[in-house]
Amino acid sequence: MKAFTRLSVVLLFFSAAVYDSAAQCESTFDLCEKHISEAYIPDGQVRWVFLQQDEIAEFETTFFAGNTYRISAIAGDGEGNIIFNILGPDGNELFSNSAHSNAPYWDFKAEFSTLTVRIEALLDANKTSSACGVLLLGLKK
Amino acid sequence: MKFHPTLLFLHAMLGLLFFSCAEKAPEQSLLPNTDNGSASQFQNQLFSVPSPVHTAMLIQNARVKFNEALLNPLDRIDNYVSESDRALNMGIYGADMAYISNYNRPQMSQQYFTVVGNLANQLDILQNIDQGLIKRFSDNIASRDSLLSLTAAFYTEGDRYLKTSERQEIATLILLGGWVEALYLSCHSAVNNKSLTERIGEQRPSVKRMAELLNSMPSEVCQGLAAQLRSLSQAYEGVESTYQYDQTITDSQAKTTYLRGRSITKVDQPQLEAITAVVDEIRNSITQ
Repeated sequence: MKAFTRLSVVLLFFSAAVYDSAAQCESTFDLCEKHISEAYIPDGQVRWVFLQQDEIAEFETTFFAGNTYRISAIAGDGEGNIIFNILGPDGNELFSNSAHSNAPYWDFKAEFSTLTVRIEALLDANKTSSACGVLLLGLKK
Repeated sequence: MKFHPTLLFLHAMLGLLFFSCAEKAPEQSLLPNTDNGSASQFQNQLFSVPSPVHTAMLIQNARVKFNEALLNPLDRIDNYVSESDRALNMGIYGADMAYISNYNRPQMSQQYFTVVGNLANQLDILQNIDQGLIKRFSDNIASRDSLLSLTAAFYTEGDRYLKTSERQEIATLILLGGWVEALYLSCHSAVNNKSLTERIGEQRPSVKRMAELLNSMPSEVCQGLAAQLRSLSQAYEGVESTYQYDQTITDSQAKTTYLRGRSITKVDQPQLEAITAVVDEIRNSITQ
């Protein structure tokens, strides 16, 4: 009977954790959104994903010539948990926030021409092993 | 063995919880696909297309004159009865609103915002987003920058609510409507405008991504739209792009990286006409 009770409590706890995921993403979103400040116009697209260990989330986006874009990336409940890399059309790495203490946001200016880049995001294994990752994009006014 | 009534209740609740989890199969798509090993890639989980607000700014920056005839007429709203039509046209009217905001027409901005608000209400979005945003919109109707920011914030809030409530398809249709309208406005503003024609050519990867996203959704509406986007993708086939890498420059203090690679996209007049014809077809199928 005691084991049965324990199992019930464990299962209930597990279920609550699953249902907490959306709430986790919501609070991470709030942290992430703060870096798309008034000087930027958000692109209106909410990108969040549950990441575990060394899983990589990625998406392509277009930086139009002459414009400055801000990428804000947060995982879990604090800054510095997520690494994001920007890759050029030929796959060359153009930037990684890991070289800048996992900065939670960074600006990119496409100086001479429009570029379609790939953005990869993964958790910093030294900081956390699973979390909701949120990536937002804004255009500087 | 006797069961305590509290434990029976607890297990009944657990059963319900797990049953609910099993019913929410689409949530699985949020999880990374680990088939390819430890560093898995994602299929359509994170997604990006140029936003209608950003595209509207590009049109205005290209010094193109305002053309009211391009807008989707307000009185068509009553034609949109199904949830998918309402979602698609909420995107369409939102892009129109961004376009209008760039040309300082406060009264027209207010009218389009009212229509967007009505559609958002019918889609059960309006009552679930920050109401302060709506007031701020009315208070800042004459300020271009504020209007653009608030339009973008409105769609961000809507997207957030739809994703939280697992209405991914509606979120996608709003995004698609906005993107199609922005492309439609660009195509009809690009005649004899080299920079805008190039911007249209540069949307080729977005066409492919959007088609893939829609194709991943099983509904008839999404499959139909995916087929239309495949036609658009064919119209883009002759558009060529080249890329030449150049070293980036990073200013750590300003947290800014300057991307200095050069890509060139060439779109000739017949290609622009072919793209415009397919965009018109898709846009008309959504708005009429």
